[in-house]
Amino acid sequence: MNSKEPILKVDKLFKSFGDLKAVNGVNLEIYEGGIVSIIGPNGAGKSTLVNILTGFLFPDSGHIYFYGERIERKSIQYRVRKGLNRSFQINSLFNGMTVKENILLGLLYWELPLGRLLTNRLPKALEEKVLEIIESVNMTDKMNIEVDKLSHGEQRLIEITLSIVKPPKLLFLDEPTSGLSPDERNMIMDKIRSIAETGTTVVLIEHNMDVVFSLAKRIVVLNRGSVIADGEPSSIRGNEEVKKIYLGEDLTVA
Amino acid sequence: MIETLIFQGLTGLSQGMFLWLISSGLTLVFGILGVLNFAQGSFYMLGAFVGYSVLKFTGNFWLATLFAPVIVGIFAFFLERFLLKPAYKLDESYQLLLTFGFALVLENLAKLIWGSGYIASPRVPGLNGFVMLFNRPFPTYYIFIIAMGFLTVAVLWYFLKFTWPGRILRAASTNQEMAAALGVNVSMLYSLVFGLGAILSALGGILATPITVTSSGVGDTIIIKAFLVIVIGGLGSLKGAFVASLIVGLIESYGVIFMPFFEMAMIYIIVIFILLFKPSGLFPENV
Amino acid sequence: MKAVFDPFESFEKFLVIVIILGYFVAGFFAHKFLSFILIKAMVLSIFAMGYSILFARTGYLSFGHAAFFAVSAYSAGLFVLHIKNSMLLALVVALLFTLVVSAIIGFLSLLRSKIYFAMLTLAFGMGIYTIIWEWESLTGGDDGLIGINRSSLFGSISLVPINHYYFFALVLLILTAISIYFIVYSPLGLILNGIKENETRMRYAGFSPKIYSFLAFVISGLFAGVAGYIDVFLENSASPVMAHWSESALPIFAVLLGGIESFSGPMVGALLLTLLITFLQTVSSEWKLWYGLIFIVVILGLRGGIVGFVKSKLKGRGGEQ
Repeated sequence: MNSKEPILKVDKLFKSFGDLKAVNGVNLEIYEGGIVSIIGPNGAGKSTLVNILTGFLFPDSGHIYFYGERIERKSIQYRVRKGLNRSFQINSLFNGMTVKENILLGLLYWELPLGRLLTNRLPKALEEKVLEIIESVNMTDKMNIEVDKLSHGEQRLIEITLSIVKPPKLLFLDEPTSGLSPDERNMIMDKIRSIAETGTTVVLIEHNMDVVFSLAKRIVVLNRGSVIADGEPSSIRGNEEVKKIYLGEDLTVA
Repeated sequence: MIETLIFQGLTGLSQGMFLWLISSGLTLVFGILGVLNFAQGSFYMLGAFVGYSVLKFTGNFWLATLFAPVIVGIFAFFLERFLLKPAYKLDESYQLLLTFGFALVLENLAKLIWGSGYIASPRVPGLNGFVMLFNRPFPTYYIFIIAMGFLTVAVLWYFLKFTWPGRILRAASTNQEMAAALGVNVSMLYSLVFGLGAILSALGGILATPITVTSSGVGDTIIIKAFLVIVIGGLGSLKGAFVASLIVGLIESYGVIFMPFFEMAMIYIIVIFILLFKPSGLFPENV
Repeated sequence: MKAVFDPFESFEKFLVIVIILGYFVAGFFAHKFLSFILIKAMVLSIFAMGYSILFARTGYLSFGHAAFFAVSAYSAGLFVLHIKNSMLLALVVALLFTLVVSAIIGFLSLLRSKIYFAMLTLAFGMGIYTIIWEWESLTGGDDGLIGINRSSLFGSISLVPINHYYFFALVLLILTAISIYFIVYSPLGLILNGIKENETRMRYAGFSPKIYSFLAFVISGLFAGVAGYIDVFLENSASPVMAHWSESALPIFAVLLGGIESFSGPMVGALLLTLLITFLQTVSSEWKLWYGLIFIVVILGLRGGIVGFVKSKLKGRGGEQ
């Protein structure tokens, strides 16, 4: 047992949709640093769990503690301000707006003094910060293009960038590599590594086992709304129950 | 005193039934099509006017009660097919705006056809008497309205629960793709539901003519009350719509004796109370 | 939609300046009837520009803004009739009342989702209509208020002649256009656009969208108030119809006709709509029916509005060069 306090503690979390128990008594502790991956077959409740932890849904019962504070009934923005953020599986950008405007919207809450809400010209420091972030994802030449006109991989990069313009303490990435080409996947994996290196704790929800086993130091396996295994990659790979639910999928490849 | 309370209670129930007929239409259309139909009140108004014309032509109230909803339903069916369908690919706001436009046009169309005066049907033969309740005469017609209200509840409930088209409807309200996969013509289903909603409202409209005077502006009054009903009951729940309709009907009728002239204010106060303290309505979630 | 970095920003500004110059020049030549119509167009422009801050920016569709128009008209009217015959003080009082009423209705209507918002604004707006209608001792009920006459400004500038009042309205129009310009092309404008495009993402960017929607609601309510104030002294009367839901269609229609995504759209739309209504009223007694039908056609067929249409033509030509 780790002697340090967990930054996120999930206590007997339940959520049903009609007869379907999407999250069925999940207990989970996330400690500071590194990359933790949550895996599980389709319909295991991964997305519902992330939605509850980040405030998009409220649980039927159970508690969530973030740095010791109970947050399960707090709003999305409350949690975000405390340092808990996420990316979406299906890109959720400000369509119809340019790359620059998207990044700017991501920064405004944190960087714009309220008194300057009505200024016609942005503060210089903010303008520079926007350009710097765009530069860091190599999109300077595309900053005036509307995001919905970018490639799928580029949109995903903006998606992840939006969730870290203000570096969170804990970041949930919901299927960040789904639907990407191998090249794009490698780019996103590099991005995830660099996020973890800057001190953000990353929780990676992923179904691609190559990605999971090359990034995660700890893997949590979810099935039918419950945690069925939790441990280091090597122990998960050898876990009989996990093998059973992933029948047909070869976990040893990675 | 107690007789007055019961007497007003029955009056309130019958008023609640009119609200139920319109808010059930709103709920069905929203539940299946995902469109909040501002013109639902116009269908109520059209039901009254079309029925009134049928009544003048045939001299028979029952024929009017039968034909008015059917005629308005067919009209609504085509309205959906030709004018609402093109808006499904648009943003939700445009669908709202479009039905708002329908209401605008229908009210003025009615003024053009029937004039801007009031209409009222004569008392209905056979139902124009009184029943003695607690030594006070209670109009038979009100009892009839209450019975009709419960009848529509029963028919709707049976239809949705036990018939094949009803099950398809419920499937479509939770999952359109599944309904389409079952081979259901979703486009036709939408038109039919829109028509059915109009039938329910139009029925309310014609049934109201023997006891109230009706003008082309009646759609406004009734749709606003129906919206308040929906806010109280929770959008998308037929049960909520029914219970809230009765609540609003009762408030109105008791309001008249306890707070005359302010019965409408009472409804608003309840709505504000619910908004502040029970933000998802009394019966959230699904049909 | 692109608020802050719109490449057409200068085109939009140009269009607005041209229209304002047009009003200015017309003010010297217009006879009584035309002046009246053009002031009506300015009233609707102010109403629609304010309304666009809510509808075009945040995507929240209110069917109750006619009530704020009426609250302002009635409070200005009652003030000059019963308390003090000062048009300047009447403006302050009218806006104060509008502010309070729109803040209360805005707060309550925003407690639930967008679809409830539409229902609640209609219901509360019609609640105001009912109050005006029923409270006869104060509002005159059905008959409304009459004899609300114009006086002078600062004791020396008489607003009684309509051509004087015309320029007073024009000044308010210009002030409105400047305010709206600053809102649309500011970070606040971008935030409001963000709410329209993706409210959930705005939350994940740290914002409380409801606070900004509320702000947009109150701002749009205040401009409805300015419009109502000008109108009541133009008509010299106030009537309950001002608060009716069908009047809330006016700014919506103007915004859509001119172009929802453009800064100049509401002003273009308001002018055209006023001329259209005047034309319909002279040719047909059933003008409201035609008006409704055109409303439906615009929603189904002309979603970028007239300004959007012109811009897309210009854009197309730019691409060919």
